[in-house]
Amino acid sequence: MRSRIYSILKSVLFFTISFVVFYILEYGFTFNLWDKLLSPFLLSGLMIVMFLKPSTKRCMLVLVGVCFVIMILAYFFNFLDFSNRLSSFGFSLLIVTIFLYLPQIIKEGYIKKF
Amino acid sequence: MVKKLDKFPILFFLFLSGILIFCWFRFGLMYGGGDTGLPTYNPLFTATKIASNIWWDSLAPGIPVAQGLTSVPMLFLLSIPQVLGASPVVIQALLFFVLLFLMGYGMHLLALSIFGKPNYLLAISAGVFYLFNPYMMIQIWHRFIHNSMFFVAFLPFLIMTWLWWIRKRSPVCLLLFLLVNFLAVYVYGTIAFIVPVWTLLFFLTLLEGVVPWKGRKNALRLLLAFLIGCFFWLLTNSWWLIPTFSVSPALFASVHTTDGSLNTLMSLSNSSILPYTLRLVNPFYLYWLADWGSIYQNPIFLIISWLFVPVVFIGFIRGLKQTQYVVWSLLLLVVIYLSKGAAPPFNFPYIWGFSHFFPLGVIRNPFEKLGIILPLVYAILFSVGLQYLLITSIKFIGKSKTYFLLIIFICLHMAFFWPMFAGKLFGTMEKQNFVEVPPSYTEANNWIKQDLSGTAEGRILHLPLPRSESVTYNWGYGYNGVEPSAAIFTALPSIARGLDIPGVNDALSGLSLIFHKPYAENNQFVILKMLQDFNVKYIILHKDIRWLGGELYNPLETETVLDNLDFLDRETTFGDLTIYKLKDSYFSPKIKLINNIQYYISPENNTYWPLWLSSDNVELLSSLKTDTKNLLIKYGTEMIVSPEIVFKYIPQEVIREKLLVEMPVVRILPDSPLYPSVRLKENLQYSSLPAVEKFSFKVTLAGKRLIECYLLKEKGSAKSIIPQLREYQQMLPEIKEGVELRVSGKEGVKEISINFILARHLATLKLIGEKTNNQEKIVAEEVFNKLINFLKDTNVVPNSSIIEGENLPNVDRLISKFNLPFSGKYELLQAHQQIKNIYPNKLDTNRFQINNELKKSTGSLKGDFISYGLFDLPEGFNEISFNSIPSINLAKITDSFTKGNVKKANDEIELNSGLHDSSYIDINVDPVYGGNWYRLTFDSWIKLGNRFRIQILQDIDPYNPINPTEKLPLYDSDFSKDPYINHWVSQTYNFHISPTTTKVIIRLEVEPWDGCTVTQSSKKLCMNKDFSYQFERLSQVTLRNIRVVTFLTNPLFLQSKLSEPINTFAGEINFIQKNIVSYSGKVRISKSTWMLFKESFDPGWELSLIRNKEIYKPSQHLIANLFANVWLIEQPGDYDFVLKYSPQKFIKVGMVFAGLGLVIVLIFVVGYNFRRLIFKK
Repeated sequence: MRSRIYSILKSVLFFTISFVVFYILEYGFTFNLWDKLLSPFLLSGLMIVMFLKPSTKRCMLVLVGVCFVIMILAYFFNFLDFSNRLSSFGFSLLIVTIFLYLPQIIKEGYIKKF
Repeated sequence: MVKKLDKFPILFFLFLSGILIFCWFRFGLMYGGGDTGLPTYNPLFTATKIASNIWWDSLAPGIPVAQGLTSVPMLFLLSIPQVLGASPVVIQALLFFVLLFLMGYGMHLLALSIFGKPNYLLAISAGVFYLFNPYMMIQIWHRFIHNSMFFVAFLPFLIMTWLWWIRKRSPVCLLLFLLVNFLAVYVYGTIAFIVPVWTLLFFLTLLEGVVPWKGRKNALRLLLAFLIGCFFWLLTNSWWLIPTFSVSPALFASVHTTDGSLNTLMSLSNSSILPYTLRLVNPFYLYWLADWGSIYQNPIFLIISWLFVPVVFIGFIRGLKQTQYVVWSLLLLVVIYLSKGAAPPFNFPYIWGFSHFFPLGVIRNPFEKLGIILPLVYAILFSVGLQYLLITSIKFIGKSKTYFLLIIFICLHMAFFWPMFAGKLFGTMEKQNFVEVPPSYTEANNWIKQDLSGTAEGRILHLPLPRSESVTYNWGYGYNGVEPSAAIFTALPSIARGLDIPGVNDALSGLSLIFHKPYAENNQFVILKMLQDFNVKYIILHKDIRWLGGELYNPLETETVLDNLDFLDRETTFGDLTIYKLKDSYFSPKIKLINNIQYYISPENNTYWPLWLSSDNVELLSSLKTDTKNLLIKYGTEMIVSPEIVFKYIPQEVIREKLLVEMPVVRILPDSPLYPSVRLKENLQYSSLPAVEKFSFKVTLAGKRLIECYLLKEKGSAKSIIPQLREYQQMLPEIKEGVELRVSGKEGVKEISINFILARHLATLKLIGEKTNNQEKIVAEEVFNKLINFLKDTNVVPNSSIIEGENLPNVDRLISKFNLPFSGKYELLQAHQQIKNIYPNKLDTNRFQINNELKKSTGSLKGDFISYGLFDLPEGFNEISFNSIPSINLAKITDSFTKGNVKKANDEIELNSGLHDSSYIDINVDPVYGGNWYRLTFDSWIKLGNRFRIQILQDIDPYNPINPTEKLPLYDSDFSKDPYINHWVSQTYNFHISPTTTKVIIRLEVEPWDGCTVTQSSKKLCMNKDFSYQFERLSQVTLRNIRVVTFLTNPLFLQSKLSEPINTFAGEINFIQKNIVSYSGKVRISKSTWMLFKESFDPGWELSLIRNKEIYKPSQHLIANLFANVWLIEQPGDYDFVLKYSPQKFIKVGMVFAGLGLVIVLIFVVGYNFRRLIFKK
């Protein structure tokens, strides 16, 4: 029970820290942008999921691929702003995913299994 | 068989390069223009006479271009075919052929080293992709920057040799790497390319050590290899590094600012968003300018542009799973992140870095500077992805179908790159950047060479003289780009364009405008003086220059001016070029002695065109140092002082009831427990803001402190407001610089006026004072007085309050602050510019407030000035102000031209459109003063329809290429009807006219009402004129009270006589020019004299006087005639002198270091090989 509470607290803390980090990386220290919380929120959430369940990293790569496909379609149909936002989210998710693969890459020299 | 395989890629890429070169050069013409100009036109001359020196005197009056040294090896190699008789076309074709081959084959070799020899076809595909990708087509070839071409050609070799070095750590590999760098040194002509090169090499080394981690020892060895490689790179490149970094930083800082770099970065972020970056596309040229037409916005081409991206993505994923490719996959992420610049995601670190580190400004276009690495990384991952797709596809659908799909894929891509095969790569669809220098240019150059008969004194002035770097000529195939005369006219240096040095550019602007109305009228002596100041011997009039739509003037008008000058001989004409020569008796040598000097006290930021200040027998001297008092007293004959600052003052009216609304909003007051969190948020926010936003934020915070004080008192809180008041007081020095910049007009054009904001701060402080008592009241009053002094110090308000009754409603007051070196009598002058007749009383009298006194003065013409008499002024700061009164109405309505149904009755003009035709009235503005602001005011009533149009037509406006009878004015605006107002509306329209404009017409036009856009849901249909025609209806607009005025803003000067002019010359001088950076000679003077040297002012020019083997260096090095160099020789006597550009020595110093570095490496190579030999034995 205790370890579960610790685990939850750790996840919440990790989520909060990563949320703040992603927010700052995106917008700096401007704190009035309430409408722009979605991307850092999603990224932090997905990062926590990948951290807790490493097997979901493969799904994230698929999600990145889906984002890029939708980005292409959106661009094709002239929704440039949406295409840009989606590609930004997809690319940031890709960076986060590869970042979590880094220990394996450094140790083995490649990703053995996604 | 193996040997055949080795030869095949070479032959393949030679063949491919040959095809492309044939496609580009089959017309037999050279390409040129743009930012590059004609770099391969005359490589021998450029290498030996221009680029091999830091000082480029061929770009007269001279400029230091240290990074030009990097072009010497390339130019030397290109001079070989030139010497063998090759034409510029052949030289350029040869260069491009070699670069194309190096790109393709180099990438192939690099890919081969990564994929392994069995995968040589894959390596070939990498080479082909590297040649044919959107980045190469648009950003390298189409952009036509030669440094970029060299970068992409040599990058594969740089990477290959670097990887050999860090892996094998053999001195031979290091030597190879340094050799490749030497061959590629032209890359660093764009200094910014040092960043992508070393960023890439750093990441390659880092990933080599870390992926996989092979232990600390290996990591240290790699670090050492990196440092050694870097060290020897620095050493062997010192021959250009040392001169460049000794000279260029100062120049760079004077031209660029952190804010400017940040603004460029932000404005380019729209074109580097991921949907573009991932496709290696620069949308500016491909879509927005549509240089190749709108075909690239066609759905098929859009699809094609995305085709290779998934292949690269597959390669990226596959690469992560294989040790030999994982580095490239990781590198892809890094390079994409760096290339997109300020575009999301995670762009804050980029913006923060730019705001706080000035050197980062060199990469203010990240897609261009760092994105140049993308094609290489893409090429590798594309091949990896392609390999996987082919293998998978063969497994599922068989070989023949797979190869069929591959062929379609290749064909689609080659279709995308059709401009490369159609020879439309350089230029636009309609016009290629062909350049054919007319033979008249060579003939003119040869004529001048012959006329000089061996001497090389003087310069060629090209008129009309562009004030920027670019020019457009109407040659056979046109020319648009960097002015090329320096390379074409080799007889003498050319004054042919503006230089990127602020002070010198002002002087050149004056030299340009003096040959144009109204400055050219009755100013023969000033023209001669300026020709002599610039050491001009010949003038070439270019009738083939395109002057409309720019800053230039009609060369035919200049021809009239030149023909009427007595001191010029019209020598000969070649094609569109006419050569004039300054008569020998009027020619002034480059170095001379001068006596009569007029001191021009000009603060750094205030420069005026010398055509106002030039006098026919006096040299104008100014100093960068502030304390010139002793020099003035001892050596000056006259002094002209320009104001240290000039600003407009508009008294602010503050309405108490509106004050709180106009001040920043405050929700949480200092007596609230949440207040500390508010302060924390403010501090965090401030620390992260880019520099451009910090000032506005600080001003807002200052306002918040005041409002907090007021609201605390309003609320009746017991909390003291003294801390808030003190904090406000401390903020004033922190915002001082920003306020001064905004007052001077350099920044904050789009912001709310700082005067507006600070006036409200003042009013709030007054309110606070009324609500407080005792200690708080004292502090409030103290802060109030501090703010008033602050406003005076920062020139928001004048030091002396405007005397009552002097301020006119709706009229600005122009305040000029002079810093006088000593007290005495000064003559008040105002630049005339022929403006007298358009102001009330013809400015025979004018009212000035001088400090605290009002003076009504009589004005009389004195040359190019209006003199308002002598005044006693004290030393130090003096303030002179006058009302910037409006002129008389300059609109000549009675002489107006009308078209269509136009009725004039009393004061009203009624414009009625036809059902399908417009009606307009053209009103002349007379007289016209180029460079001035004008204000058009009128009342309008749109009775039918919903809008009317105003165009300001200037004689310098270009013609519409589609409809040559129609002009394309800079000012073309629509005024729309407010549906709630169906009566007279007062309108104001401000416009600025070009300095070379001599005729202005205001066209007020009413077009038929376009009912289509109102009634039809599909606006696209309305773009079809045949369709929208049926919906047009009548429009009617009535206008009255049309007035056009300009405002009296002519600058003021103060002049003071110091001593009587000296009529006798006090010396003799003879000199020879040893080379571009060195002069020597003899000088004899009988009293203190000034030596004038007519190259651009640069502290690097040093004069040494030698007498009896002792060397004296004059301590006073001043600026002459706003651009040149002058030294004071105080002691009379006979001297030998040497005048040198001292930074030139850095080349020798650099070469010594470079040679040393090379020798050390060679020693290591020999030693290494020797050891290997012994070890083998």
